[in-house]
Amino acid sequence: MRRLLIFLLPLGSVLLAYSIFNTHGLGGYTTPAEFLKIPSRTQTSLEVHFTSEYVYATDGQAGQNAFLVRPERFRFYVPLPWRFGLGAQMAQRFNLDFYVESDSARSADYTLIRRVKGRGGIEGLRLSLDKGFYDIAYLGVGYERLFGGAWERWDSEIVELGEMTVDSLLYYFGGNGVWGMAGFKLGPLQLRGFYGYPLDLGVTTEVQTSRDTTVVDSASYTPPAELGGILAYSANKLELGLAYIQQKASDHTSLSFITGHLVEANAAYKFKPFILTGKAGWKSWYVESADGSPIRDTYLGIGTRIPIESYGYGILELTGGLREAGAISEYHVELRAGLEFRELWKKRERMWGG
Amino acid sequence: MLSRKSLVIKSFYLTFFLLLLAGCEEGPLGFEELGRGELEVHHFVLEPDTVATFSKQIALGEATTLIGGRDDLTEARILISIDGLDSIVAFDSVKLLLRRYPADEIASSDVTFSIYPVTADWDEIGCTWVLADAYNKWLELGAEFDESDLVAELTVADDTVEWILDPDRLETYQQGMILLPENEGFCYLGSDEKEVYAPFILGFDADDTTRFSSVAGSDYYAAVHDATILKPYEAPSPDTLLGAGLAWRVFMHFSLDTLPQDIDVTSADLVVEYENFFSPENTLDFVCYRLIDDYAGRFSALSSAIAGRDSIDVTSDSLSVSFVGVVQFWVDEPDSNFGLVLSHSFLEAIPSFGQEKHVHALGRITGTPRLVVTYTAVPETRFPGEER
Repeated sequence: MRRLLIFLLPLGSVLLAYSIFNTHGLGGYTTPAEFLKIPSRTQTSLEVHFTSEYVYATDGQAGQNAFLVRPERFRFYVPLPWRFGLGAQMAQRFNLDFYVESDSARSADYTLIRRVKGRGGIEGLRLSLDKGFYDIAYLGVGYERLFGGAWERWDSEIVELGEMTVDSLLYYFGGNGVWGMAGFKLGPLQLRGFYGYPLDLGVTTEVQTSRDTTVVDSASYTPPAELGGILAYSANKLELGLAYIQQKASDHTSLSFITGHLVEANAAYKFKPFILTGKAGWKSWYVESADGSPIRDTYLGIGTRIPIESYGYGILELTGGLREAGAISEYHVELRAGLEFRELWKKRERMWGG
Repeated sequence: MLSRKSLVIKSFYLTFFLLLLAGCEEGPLGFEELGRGELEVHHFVLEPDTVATFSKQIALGEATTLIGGRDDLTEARILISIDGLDSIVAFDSVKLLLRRYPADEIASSDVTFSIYPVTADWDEIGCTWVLADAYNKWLELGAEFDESDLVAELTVADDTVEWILDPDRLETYQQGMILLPENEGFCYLGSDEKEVYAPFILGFDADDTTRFSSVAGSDYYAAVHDATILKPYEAPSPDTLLGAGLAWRVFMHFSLDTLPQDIDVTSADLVVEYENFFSPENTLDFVCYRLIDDYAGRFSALSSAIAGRDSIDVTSDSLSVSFVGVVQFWVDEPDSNFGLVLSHSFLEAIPSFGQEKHVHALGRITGTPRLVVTYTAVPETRFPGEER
């Protein structure tokens, strides 16, 4: 029953994230797990992570609160014979959740207020195959299928008339990507390099009004490529990691991509029976704000991994940070909860092995 | 005692479901970040490129009420024929009894009618005032009559009116008669469709009274057929007339070519200056219909759904009908804009009268009608492609 629940939970993909800056480009970028940390290649594992997020956005005059929940990641990895490994991952790659509201704008003796709510995103289903060489090096390749949809609801209120119109814009996404990675393990040190090469992402737009639904556009964009590396150190009780990702844009369309950067440092300390974790990161988005300012996000996080006998780990992590560009600042706090199943799969292997 | 494993798993689920209950507070922030979506309300005042008045006749032949009478503009006449009646010769006298709606129920005037024989066959459905080819033409099978042959005079002053029938006029009765009002005012009689107040015939002999039956084959058979028919009247002025029930409607067509196609119409009000000539009530109801085909005078085809309505006091000098949905439809489907028709409401609060009571509500449109439209632009897509 528990296992069934675990498989069903990621299906609750209607849950949300939130940022005003998700109005730009393809939305808020989420890093694939294997580009941030180097997980074990010798253990079968299943990970399910959820994030609850509180955001307070302000421009110094007005403010908004949002308190939302979303599934962050579902990841599965299984070692195969001859040092092969097979991985699958499902995560939202670009998030399009936002809410913006205009000030009262007056024209032709009428006052108009527009409220726009965006929901949805671009999901990524990633499949990978890697091969190790003498427990020292490995090479991996992967394929990513991008899909998903988003919905924008535009509420326009004319105050004097007491009239409200509602329009919806529906976006459907479909695209592909490939990536490759290579890694070395030299004693306590590990090094991984990767490069993700996106192919075209097709977007179809429909306008939905109370009257009808019309396909008005189809467009194609190339998401930014991802390249970077991870340096990790592992000792008896201590693990350290440093990841760098660059989002290199080659698309020169109206989405106005720029080069984005992410640097994140991770640490874990075994403090029996728990493992304490911490992280610090800095992200510069692959798009700019409306006034041309860079969108930057600085964050710190602490957490713990709690061993669960015969199962794996429970994960709790609290992260806080500041995302800002131009006059808008977003203070965000995330509580991440997850489960990593490891021992469970060993047990099942024994049961089947009889 | 919960194990650590159970505690972690239960805490995970509890946290997850609690957070599902989370909401958000929204305020005016961040619209500029969108970089699209104009903040403007567009306002247009349109005048019609075509305005026309026409008269639409409405079937009354099978109405439950016979309206007889006249006023400045309208003359409501009554048609009666009596089928059968062969046994009239067996009685000393035979009376046709017409019954007026009781005075305490519906106020009527005393009306005197002159009765003339019609010269063409008619039936209730056939004289429904669907005019042949123009407003002021009688239907061929309708009410042509011989004005030189006065059959009788009849005054409706009580709730029951008796008319002694002449056995020598049997052929006239069967052919039919028309009752022309001779004075101003209206009376309301029950028709053969109205069971309670339907006309009937009684035969009298020395010491007996026999009621004729409308069932074919009866010993004393006589079936009364009746209808109301209006005398056409001339327009009181060259103004754009706005009537009710049987009479005038105003056709208008507004070209919406100046409006962009991708818009959200937020208001569309037809504003009409109005002057009432007369009305039976203190409140005037107006309705608007859209045409579903090209304008064709009184043969114009209207959508069955009411596009908009307004209700004003009889002393008001303007009315405003809102029909946002129709204008939006016309903007989205420009080929469907055949125009609209404005009239007094067909509706009537007293069911027993149906639409007839508003026969003589009439007014005129003064000035030029205006269509006041506001709209906002449909939002632009976030991901513009080559086709836009």
